[in-house]
Amino acid sequence: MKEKVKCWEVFQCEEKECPVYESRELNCWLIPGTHCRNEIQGKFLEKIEMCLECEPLKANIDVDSMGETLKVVNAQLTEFRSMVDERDRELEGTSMELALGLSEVFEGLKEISQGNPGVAIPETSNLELITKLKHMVNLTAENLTEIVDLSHEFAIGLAQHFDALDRVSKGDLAARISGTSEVELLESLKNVTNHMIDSVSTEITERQRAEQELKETLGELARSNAELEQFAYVASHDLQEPLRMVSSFVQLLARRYQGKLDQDADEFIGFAVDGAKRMQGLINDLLTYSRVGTKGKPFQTTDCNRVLSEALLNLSAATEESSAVITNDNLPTVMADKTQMVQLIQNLVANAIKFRNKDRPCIHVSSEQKNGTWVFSVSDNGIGIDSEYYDRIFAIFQRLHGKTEYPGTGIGLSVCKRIVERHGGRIWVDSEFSKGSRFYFTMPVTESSLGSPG
Amino acid sequence: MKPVEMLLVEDNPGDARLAIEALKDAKVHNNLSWVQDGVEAMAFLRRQGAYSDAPRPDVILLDLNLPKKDGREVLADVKADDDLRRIPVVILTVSSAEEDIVKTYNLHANCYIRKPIDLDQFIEVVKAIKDFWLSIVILPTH
Repeated sequence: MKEKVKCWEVFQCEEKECPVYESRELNCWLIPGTHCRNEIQGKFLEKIEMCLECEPLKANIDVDSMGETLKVVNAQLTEFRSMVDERDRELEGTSMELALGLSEVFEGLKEISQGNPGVAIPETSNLELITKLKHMVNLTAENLTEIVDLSHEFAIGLAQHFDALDRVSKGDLAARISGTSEVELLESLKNVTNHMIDSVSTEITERQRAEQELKETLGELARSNAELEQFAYVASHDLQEPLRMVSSFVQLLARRYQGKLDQDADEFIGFAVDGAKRMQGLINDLLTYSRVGTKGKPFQTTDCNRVLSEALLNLSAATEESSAVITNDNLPTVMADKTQMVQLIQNLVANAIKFRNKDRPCIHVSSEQKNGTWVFSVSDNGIGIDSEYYDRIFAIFQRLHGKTEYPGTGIGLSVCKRIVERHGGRIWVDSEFSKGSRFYFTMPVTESSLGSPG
Repeated sequence: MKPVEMLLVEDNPGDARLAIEALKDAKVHNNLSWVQDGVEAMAFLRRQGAYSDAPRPDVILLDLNLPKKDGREVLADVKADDDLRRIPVVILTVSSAEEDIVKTYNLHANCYIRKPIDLDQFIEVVKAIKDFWLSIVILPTH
């Protein structure tokens, strides 16, 4: 027989002042983890085998109530277990719902992120949160779809704009934006742009037409001009020969038979000869005048001092005969046709000598640079020109005097004008009647122009 | 004294007549032959065909613009011919074109004269030609 332990020795109540312990009451028993019947908590610190044979213990254990308690506890435990199981099942169910729902949401969001916004997740779930989440995702997908569609519309609309405007810029004036859109902004933009293209293309077409007309007119003018110049040149050139025949033989007639026929014949011959000579003069002048254009040479650097020297050389007879004094300043170098420049200056100086007063002619040739142009002047102390004739004298064959007063056909100044205009300048006169005249003409200054500023 | 032989090559009968009239005033006795185109001119100079008895000219007065054979060609042919090249050729023409002047001097024309339009001047020029080439200048004996 095991050594029996005294029941009260078995207990070790934490409560140091366990009254049971104190009382050593034998009818108190403690099962680990339970309350003391007397509602004093305590626990075993060590498990000690209890001898159930211990009479006192046996006597003290209320097996029935313990059994009852155990039953209750068992039942409670069972209930608890089934509760836990149910909870477990519920949890598992919820978990699965959650997992399923979330995976559907995940799939949906994945689709959206890959650029397919046409997602509609079935909004069924036992979990309200999941349902709400799915609904939100579906809404987002819908919004995205709307945005994508709108942006697509804009892209199409802008592409049509681009296409039409590109074609217009490349010259296709018939290009317009076609198609309609439900987007109001795009529709208005389309209408405005088409309207703009309408106005622009009308203007361009009009301008092109006007330009074409102008070009044709200019072309015709140029042709006409060239033809006229050619005509004038050929006419005067071809007139030379028959004129020479008439002129020469009438003169020969005059020489050979002057005095040998009657006076009438002499007179008639005289008129014929005179007429022929004048005709010759006129044709020569016409030729000279038309040659300014047809025989003009390309411009080269021309030293105007040398031009003046050559002109004066050509006029040496007239200069000597009139005892003219001709002075000059240093003249610049310009881009010009040298032959024509000599002609120009020679004509002006010749006029200055021809239209002189009783005094000896004093002629001065000078130039100065003004506003980026050379202004030449030939001044004299001759008979002068009335201001009302300032323009007329430059017209072809215009003379202010009878042919018996001063010789010449009146071509000199119009040739001067033509030459000056060919070189891009202008010519004019300033004069005081009976005191003298000053003829001015301009020449453009070029990089290679040198010469004194004053 | 042997007359000076002149050959005038000129297609315009009027101009030819003027030259002839002007030369009539000459101091030196001269014979003027006249042909009207370049082909005739060469035949005359080479004494071919109808011109087998033609005299050899001491001076040639040559117009440039001639029918059948141009004066420039005649000039070239004469100056290329060993026998004929010593004969002085005086170009007498209406043209004053720079190209013509240069070209004919290049072809060894002896001188270039532009026919004056005025009769008096024309006469002066013809006289001057005659005085210069026939009186002053020493011509080669063939």
